[in-house]
Amino acid sequence: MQFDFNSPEPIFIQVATQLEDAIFTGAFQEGAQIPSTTEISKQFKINPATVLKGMNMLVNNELLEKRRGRGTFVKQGAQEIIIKRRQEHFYNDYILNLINESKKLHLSEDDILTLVKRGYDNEQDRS
Amino acid sequence: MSKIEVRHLAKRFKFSKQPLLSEVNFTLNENEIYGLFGENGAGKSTLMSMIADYNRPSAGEVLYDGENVHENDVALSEIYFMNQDNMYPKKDKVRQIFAFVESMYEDYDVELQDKLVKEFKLDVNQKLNKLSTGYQSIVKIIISLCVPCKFVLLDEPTLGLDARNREVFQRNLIETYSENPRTFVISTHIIDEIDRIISDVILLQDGVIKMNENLEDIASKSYSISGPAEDVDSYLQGISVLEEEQLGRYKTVHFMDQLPQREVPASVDIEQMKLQKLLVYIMDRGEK
Amino acid sequence: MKKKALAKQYLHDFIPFIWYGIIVAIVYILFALLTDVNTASTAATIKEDLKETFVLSPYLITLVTMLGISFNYHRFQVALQNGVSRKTFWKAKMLFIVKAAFLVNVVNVFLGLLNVMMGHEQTYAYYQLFGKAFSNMFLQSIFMFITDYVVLLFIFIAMNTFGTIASLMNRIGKSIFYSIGVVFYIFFTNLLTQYGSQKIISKFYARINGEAILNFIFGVDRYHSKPFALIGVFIILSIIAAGFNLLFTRLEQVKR
Repeated sequence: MQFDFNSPEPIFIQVATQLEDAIFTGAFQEGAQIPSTTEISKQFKINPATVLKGMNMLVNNELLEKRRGRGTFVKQGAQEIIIKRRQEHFYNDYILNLINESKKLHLSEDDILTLVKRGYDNEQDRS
Repeated sequence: MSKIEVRHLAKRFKFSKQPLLSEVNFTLNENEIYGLFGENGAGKSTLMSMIADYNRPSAGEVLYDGENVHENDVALSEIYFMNQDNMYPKKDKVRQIFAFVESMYEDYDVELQDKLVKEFKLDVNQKLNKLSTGYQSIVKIIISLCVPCKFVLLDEPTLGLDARNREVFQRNLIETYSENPRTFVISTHIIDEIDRIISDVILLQDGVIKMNENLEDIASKSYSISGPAEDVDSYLQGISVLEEEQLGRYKTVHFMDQLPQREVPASVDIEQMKLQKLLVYIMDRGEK
Repeated sequence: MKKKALAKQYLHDFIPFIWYGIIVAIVYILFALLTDVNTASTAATIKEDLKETFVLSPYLITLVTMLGISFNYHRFQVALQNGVSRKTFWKAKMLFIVKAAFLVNVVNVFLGLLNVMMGHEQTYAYYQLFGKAFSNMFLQSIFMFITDYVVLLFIFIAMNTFGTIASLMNRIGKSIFYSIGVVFYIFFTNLLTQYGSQKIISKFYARINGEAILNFIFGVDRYHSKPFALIGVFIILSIIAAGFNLLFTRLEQVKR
């Protein structure tokens, strides 16, 4: 995990995002236990209450579940939920930014489409 | 839940024109980590020493659960103040000092003490006055983390510690705090080091509390915004600015407020301000 | 709990002063003997000198340990750092002084008895006053110990009170305080050693009938003096001194 403490987001949201990323990439497997609040706060020197707040966010989002006296675990189907949600956010997070940036660079819609095509072709060549 | 209330506290020294503290009011709640900040000579140490009844205020009072802390054995046994002086017998071996403190507190955490001694690589058979400045601080740090007090005040705890030992301190502070929550008040000039550990910020300036807020609240309203000067200005219209820097047409504005409701211009970058920067700007502004 | 733990710590820090006192006494005796070697002297005179200087050793030990008792600020620091009120600190201090006076007294009485065995009964203050108080040797020793103890206790509490007052002051205040002490010391020694002033004192002493008053207080009379009154007087004095001590201890603050 990495934390960028210059990001405009509050630290507990960054904690949540980092944990979510770890679940998304499979670093934390579904059904597996994740590090405790203390372990995370110790390693990154973050107030335990902040870490807990971030974790609780994911619990509310049905990605993590707390098992009494045993710790926090990744819920079954968590990865699927993240993928779905990220698909929904893809337009806002990436496409709008892409269009914004391309305007600054005077790239037309066609230019962008060409570039996207090139990206996919390169990808195919590699594999 | 226990709490410490500081009410109308003032401290005036003889032969000095201005009072060091003129009217200080705040409350310390249980199980929070407070960062106490302020410039050199702002009165942080004096404030803490009055909370622990080391010194008497000129006016006002410090209440522990509603009772004045002065000459109050019950309150004082729940307040531990690690000041910058060495208060222990210098000619004693560290081992003897630890044994003495253990005899003073019923639930002194010997296990944690042994663990910390190992992690800090402290030689307990050395006499206190034979230790380096850093290790003398470490002895005090170990004691303050092991005493069973609800309120632990630390005045510049990491002064003179090397990078590794500072790290050991921070890690163990968090660990003991998570396992056994209690209130810490940490005064330090190295704000970057603890700005994620603390939950609340207390800023002392010109004899009063300038800021006393939850860290998250502060974080959600302290920003640095940069971009072309006119875009930044139009976006931030009506917001009171803390500090601004300009490099040609490129402008960075630091302010403490909510982000404006307007749409963010594409050319503008929003960053959260670091606590250290924010406090420096506030202190600077206070002087003008 | 904290009171006892503090008193124990103070005693631990104080014990070296007893050793310092013994060392000072030994050095003093050796010096006296060394001066004998320089002058042409016989074994008999050396032995006589040893006896004479040996008499002083309990007083030297008392003097050095008095110094140790008077250092007060470090004890205050240790107490406050561990979260006690000034009043609890005072209690711990008194408990410590009671114990410390006992320890020093054991050493002193032991030396005093040695001295008596060497045939110097008259030099021991207790013997001068109450030499015939009890016919039973055991009772006599017990009361000798108790009498010496209460006197020492008072001296210790008084010294600690002076130390406490001194620790209330800053450097300037302290130097004034000590200078006043030195001036008074010179004044009184002058008063006692100058023939003229001695005459004035003894006149004054005679006028207020001082001897009778003192004899009453100390319970001394020519035929069967007992130390009870003296013990009582010193216990009362100790309590008064302890009260003053509390008064000043309450004012103490941690310096920066």
